[in-house]
Amino acid sequence: MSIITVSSNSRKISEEIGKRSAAILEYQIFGQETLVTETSTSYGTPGEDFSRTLSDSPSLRGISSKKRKELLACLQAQFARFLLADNIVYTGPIGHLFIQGISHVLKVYVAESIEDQASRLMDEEQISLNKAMKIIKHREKDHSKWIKETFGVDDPAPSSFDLKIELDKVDIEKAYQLIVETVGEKRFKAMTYSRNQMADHELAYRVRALLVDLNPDIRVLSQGGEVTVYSKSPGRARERSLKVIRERVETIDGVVKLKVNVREDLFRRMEKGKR
Amino acid sequence: MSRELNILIVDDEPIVLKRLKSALEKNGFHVETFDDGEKALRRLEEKDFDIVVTDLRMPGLDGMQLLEKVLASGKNVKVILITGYATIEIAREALVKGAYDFIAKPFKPNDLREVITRAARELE
Repeated sequence: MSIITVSSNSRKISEEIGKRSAAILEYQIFGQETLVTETSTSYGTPGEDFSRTLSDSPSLRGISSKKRKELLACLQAQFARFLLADNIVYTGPIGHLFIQGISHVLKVYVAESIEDQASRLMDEEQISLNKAMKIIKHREKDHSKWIKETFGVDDPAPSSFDLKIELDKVDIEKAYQLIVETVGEKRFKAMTYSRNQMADHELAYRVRALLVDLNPDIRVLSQGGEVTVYSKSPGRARERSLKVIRERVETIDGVVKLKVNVREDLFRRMEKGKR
Repeated sequence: MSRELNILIVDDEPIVLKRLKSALEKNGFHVETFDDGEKALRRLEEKDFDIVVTDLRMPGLDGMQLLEKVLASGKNVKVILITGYATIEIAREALVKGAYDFIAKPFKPNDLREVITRAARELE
């Protein structure tokens, strides 16, 4: 009873390895497309917006930083909802960053050499090796930039993963075997503690997704249905903020108790004072 | 399980022992409690228990050491660790060492009851 996230510098490879591993283990599998589609359905926002959030770096012409945080909060809530079911594989570039600290989640990173990626791209696009290498390097640079700007971390950081497989050292058949063997280890078995943690994360993310438009940096913690919201609001808007948060969260399924901490946002108060 | 289930609980906080004993006895389980790992181990040498519920952090013999000693005895017993200091590393270590389950405090008595019921089914 475990969960596997498969990330890779090659989307094709992560999908292939995820599919094969899921088939061997008889686990369910979902990827970025399913995540985007289901999030779009749950939150009534076009899937295109979620897809762009997962691929485009912040820019003046793109989605605003505030909107990106809102869309990411929805994606994270939907992602955690999927993971409430055990025996599941997720293939995609952000799985290991969306859920952290859960002991029955095995985080796998599969690295394919740039030469192998370029060689495949050459065949697919009928382009030169030189051009293919340039495209791959550009994609990797963009992806690293996106991860750094979105999550504030370098990617792929070895500490983010439980298992790192380098395909220039291990063949793909051995890669499936390694994943299947590792997830079978006792340390990745689901337990009451890890299941409760997953439920706490899911509720906290779901609550956050419904409040993030009030403050893109709002924080939500949950333990056994007791939810604590931390936010900031300037001056007199604080009382209104408290009221809105309470009204919205009270209706959320699974919330047993609510504590709201809204601190005064002195910077915004000073900004308003200057106007 | 057709016969009465024998449960041993170890925790250095008397209030936890009192609360859990009372909650589990309501389900018809036979419960003995100890506030010290050494005393609990001596009792385990005298009598067979089906399930051991132990706190992790205790003075003297701690929960992880008790787990190892109980499993080394070769008896058919399920060990459940409870702790107020849960981390992903400790939880994984407990499972690797053979714990049946790992529960973070605070928990509801019903959470433990469910785990015990599941463990009892596997002991049959």
